[in-house]
Amino acid sequence: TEDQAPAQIRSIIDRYPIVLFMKGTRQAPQCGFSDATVALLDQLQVDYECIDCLDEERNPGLREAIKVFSEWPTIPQLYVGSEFIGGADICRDMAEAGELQDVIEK
Amino acid sequence: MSTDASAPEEDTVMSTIEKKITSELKPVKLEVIPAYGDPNGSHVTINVVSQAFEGKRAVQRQQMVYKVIWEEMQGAIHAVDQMKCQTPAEAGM
Repeated sequence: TEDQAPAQIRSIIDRYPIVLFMKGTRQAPQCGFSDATVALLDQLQVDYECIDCLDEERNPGLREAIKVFSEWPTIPQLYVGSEFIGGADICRDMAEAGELQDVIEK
Repeated sequence: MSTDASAPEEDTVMSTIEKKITSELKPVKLEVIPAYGDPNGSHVTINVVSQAFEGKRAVQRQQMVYKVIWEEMQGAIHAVDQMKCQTPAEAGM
C-alpha cells in the first residue's frame, strides 16, 4: 500500500550498503541511464543490489514511491550507506572525479 | 533572468518552469532551454545561478530545483537533458 512504501524503501536502503533503484534488472537494464549506471558500478567492482522499479509484481508502486521518497523525479537512483547519492548524471560525474569511489569506501 | 528576443508565451511549460524557479530560488541568472525549441516540449535544459545553492552539494541543489518543478516533472517534462546549478561565485558573477 502507499503508506507502507516509505517504510519498505527505508528497509531496503538500510539493508544494502549500495543499492541501485533502476529500470529493469542488472542483467537486462531497460533504459540507457540505468544501463550506464550499472556499467559504472560494475567497473568499480563493488557488491551492489539492484531493485527493478518496473517490476510491479515484486515491487508494486515502487516506481512512484521512490521518486517521492528521494525527492528525485527520475530513475535510476543510487543509494550508498542509506544516503541518496543521485541519478545517472551525478553518478557519472562523481565517478569521473573519483568522488563516487570515496563515498563507497567510507 | 535572461530572456531572448522571442520570449515564451504565457502558460507554456517552459514559461511556467521559469516563473516557478524565479519565484522560489531567486536566481541571478536563469536559462530554461527547451529541446528542439518547443516551448511545450518534453525535454529541457535548465541552468540556474542562485545564492540559494551556497553550501549544498550538486545532488541537493538539483533536488531544490526538482522540488520547485515537481508537477511539471510528473507530467509535461520527461527528461531534463542538463541541469547546472551554480552559486554566483561559481558562475563568476
